[in-house]
Amino acid sequence: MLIYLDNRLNKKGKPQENYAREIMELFSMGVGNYTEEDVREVARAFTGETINAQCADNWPYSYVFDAGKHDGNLKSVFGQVFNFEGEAEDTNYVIDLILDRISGATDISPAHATHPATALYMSWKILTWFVSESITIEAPAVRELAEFFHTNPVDGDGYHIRQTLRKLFKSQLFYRPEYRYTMYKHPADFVVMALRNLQLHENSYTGQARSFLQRMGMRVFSPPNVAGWNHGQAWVNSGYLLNRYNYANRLSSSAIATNEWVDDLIPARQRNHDAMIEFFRARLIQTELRPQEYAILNDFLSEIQNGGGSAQSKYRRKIRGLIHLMMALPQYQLK
Amino acid sequence: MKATRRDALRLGLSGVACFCIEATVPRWILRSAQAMVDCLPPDRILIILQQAGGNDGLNMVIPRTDETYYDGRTRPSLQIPRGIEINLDGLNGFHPRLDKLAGWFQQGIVGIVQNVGYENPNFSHFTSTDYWEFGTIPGAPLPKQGWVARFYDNACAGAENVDALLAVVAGTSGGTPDALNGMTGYAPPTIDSPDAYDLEVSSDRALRLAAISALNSIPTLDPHIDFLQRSQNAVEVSTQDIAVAGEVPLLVEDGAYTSDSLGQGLKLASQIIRAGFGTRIFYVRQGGYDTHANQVNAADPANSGRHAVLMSNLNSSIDAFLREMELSGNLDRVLIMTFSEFGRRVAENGSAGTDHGAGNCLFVIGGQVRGGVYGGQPDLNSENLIRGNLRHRIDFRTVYARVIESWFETQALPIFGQLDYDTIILPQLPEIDFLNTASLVQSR
Repeated sequence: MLIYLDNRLNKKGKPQENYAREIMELFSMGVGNYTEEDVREVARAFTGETINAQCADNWPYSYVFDAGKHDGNLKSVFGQVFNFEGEAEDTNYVIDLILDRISGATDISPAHATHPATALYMSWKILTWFVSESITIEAPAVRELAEFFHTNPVDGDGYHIRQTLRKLFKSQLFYRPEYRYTMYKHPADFVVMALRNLQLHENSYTGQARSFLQRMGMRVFSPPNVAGWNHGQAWVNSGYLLNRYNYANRLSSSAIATNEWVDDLIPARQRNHDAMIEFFRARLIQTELRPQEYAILNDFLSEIQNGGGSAQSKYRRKIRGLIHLMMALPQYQLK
Repeated sequence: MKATRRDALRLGLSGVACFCIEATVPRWILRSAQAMVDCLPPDRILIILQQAGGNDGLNMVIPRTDETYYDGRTRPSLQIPRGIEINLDGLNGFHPRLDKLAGWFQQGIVGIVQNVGYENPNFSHFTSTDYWEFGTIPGAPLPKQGWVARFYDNACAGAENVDALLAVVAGTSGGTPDALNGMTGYAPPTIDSPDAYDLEVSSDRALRLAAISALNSIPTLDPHIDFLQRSQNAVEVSTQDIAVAGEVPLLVEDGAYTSDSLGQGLKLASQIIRAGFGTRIFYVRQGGYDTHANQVNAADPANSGRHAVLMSNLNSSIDAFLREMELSGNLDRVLIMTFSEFGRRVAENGSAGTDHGAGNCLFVIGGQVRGGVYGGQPDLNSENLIRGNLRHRIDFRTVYARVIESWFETQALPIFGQLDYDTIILPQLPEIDFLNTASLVQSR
């Protein structure tokens, strides 16, 4: 962040607000819990937090507190007036203020008003990442997790991420019907799950995941802006979806799903259409297929069966087609 | 001709294999198969150009008679040195890299709307972008539909025969913009590049495509499945058209369109227009405007630094688009409207950059634009700033209302509500009368 959000350039007299704003908006409390005045004051508190551009061994930068560029006058954040001498003391104080700041967002229900904003906002982010995008910050589940996150009994200081995640992962929330298959896979989900569902492996000759991820909207390790990617419905549009279908097609082609791989998939005696559909349903979809979906897939297999070609080539065409079609199911875009 | 080609596609889909759910193909597929738009005027195309990140309007359109701008304290390293800006009307000058746009300004088809913003501005990129995309301001809850979706639905409620390419997001990998989200029965095609916009099928092509189509046409009550199926439908009905558009030859020299998302988006928009498709709304993006640092290179503030590069790309790509529109006889059919989520602080920060600001300028460009500067001059005098930021005079929804009423000839009042329309928009509309297309819809 010293580099990405420019704080290395933040100096007394002419502070710049990039990191001060985003640490509060995106990485801790969320909007509504600080004023524009707070942004300007936090920027002043962060002055002098910079980097040493002298080359070190493996990494060209190291952290430096430049006291000469630090603003030594009084600052006022959330009504607290302070000025500490010493390396990063102002920054440490600001971080404590942020972590303990009680939610003052006007659009949040009164029940939230007793909770620290950072605990609430981070808990909400964790829940919408792991459980369901439909969970709002007002949800009781957010309050419950925030309570634990801020004051968990294991660590007196609170904000223990490992303990909080452990609690979440053991939660019954994951079993609620309204939260199952309601999240859109992001491109990395789609690509990695597709490979793992089939236990297929791209190799150096066929590896296409990286360029396809980009065409599905995700340049890995290069998010579009400081907030990261927009998730959920933002991953679905015609251009992105088309590339999901095309990746499924490539995956099912002989370059990756080789003839040997396809032939070994289902024993010759069990190659009836029901067994083929069930084989991929269990691996790709897990939930039930809708009756119409089942009928369409069955019709597809029958069309191939009723056409020309050797039994072996028909079998391979059926398998490759099923992989392509089932990865183009709307259900397969959800997790 | 278009209908014939689409009919052929449908025949190809339904004639190969007869699937049992044929009768339940959703209505939008049938609608999309016929290329007609009858609810918006046929010769009015809007290109929304997003300058994402917060454009420094004061260095795009330089207030060349403003003493504060040149006082050496406000923008010591950022100010474009006196005399190298391109004089437009005495009061305003373009950034020196906007030379081609200055030519179009002299031809009278570039409008600059100054002092655009909204009351009680928000300085978060994401919150402020929401206001612009959804067409609302602080204090009101975000609507479920973007501003374009709302006026489209209002104008086209119950319309039959919606074109498959009615609204197109071109050249950007940023996903569907919220402005277009929620159009009833329509998911806008989003196309990075026509080259990669094709369904690949390694074997049994017709069979597989027919099955994918059928699998995505099953009636459902699940909103996620429904959205996915509509988006699949957008793929199905747009790929052939985009392939046709991708073959439309350039009328300008190679490299005239820049290689960024903006240049590629405008290039594709031009191809789609010149191919004769029925697109009424394009959305293109140019990112990179969040210039907290190194906005200019102090050694050469006019020509190097992040903002100069952005201005240069904007200049080249819009110019290429306008030239192709002029050469193909389409210049009077297009209106480009730029926007950015906010302007930047009047005074520079300590890193040759600017922090988030408020009031800003935007461009409206096209053959039917009455060129000139609207909305008055920005007032940089520190006594008239709000905590270092420009005050706005024109609500951005007034600009939208001008476009909705005078370009698309449909009502803006239902889109923004009676109260705000009467008290904010209506009084400001006469100030920004930038379109020659005469008929102002009477909203009341």
